[in-house]
Amino acid sequence: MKIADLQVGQALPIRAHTATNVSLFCYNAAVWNPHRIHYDETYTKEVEHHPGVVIDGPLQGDWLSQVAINWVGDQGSLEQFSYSNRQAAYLGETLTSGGTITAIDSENRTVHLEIYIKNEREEIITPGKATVRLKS
Amino acid sequence: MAGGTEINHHRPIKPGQILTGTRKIVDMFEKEGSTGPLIFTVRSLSVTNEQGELVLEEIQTGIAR
Repeated sequence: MKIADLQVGQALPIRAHTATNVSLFCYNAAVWNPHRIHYDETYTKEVEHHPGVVIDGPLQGDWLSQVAINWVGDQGSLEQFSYSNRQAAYLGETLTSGGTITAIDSENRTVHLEIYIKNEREEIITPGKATVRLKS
Repeated sequence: MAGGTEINHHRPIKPGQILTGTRKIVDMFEKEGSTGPLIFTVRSLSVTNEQGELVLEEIQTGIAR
């Protein structure tokens, strides 16, 4: 990846993410999160009154960090990363992740990205930003 | 529920290093949501290496209702 070949507005690869009951259970076990809204449908609907099992906000954040990390590969590293969980997503939805280059700083070899998680209605439910630094 | 995260990576880490993480509650406030009051908790995590140099800083916002 050469910084001179990159352009502001360039899109990053888009990926689809379909969580399953098992993948959500495993994710929450791995991060030691016992909150039942991520794997117990009856509890989620009857006790906490969500319309369905909730896809974790931090899991969406992890998919977002992968947008930047997978794109830059071993050509650089992730320096800054942020996101905001604005709207909930539920089991059964297929979410997509992607991003675009918003600024390029050739002197510092940094590339600024705007990244997103969208739902099937094309609404950005988790917007984020990332800065990657390319190796010289 | 999760509200969002901000991470700054300051230096690379290597196998064998001993890292120290410190978590703090930096802010707590209430906001009126569409389904009732929401409590926001802002937590920070800072990770340092053996030399006391900052490796990573993270700010996470949690939302309780």
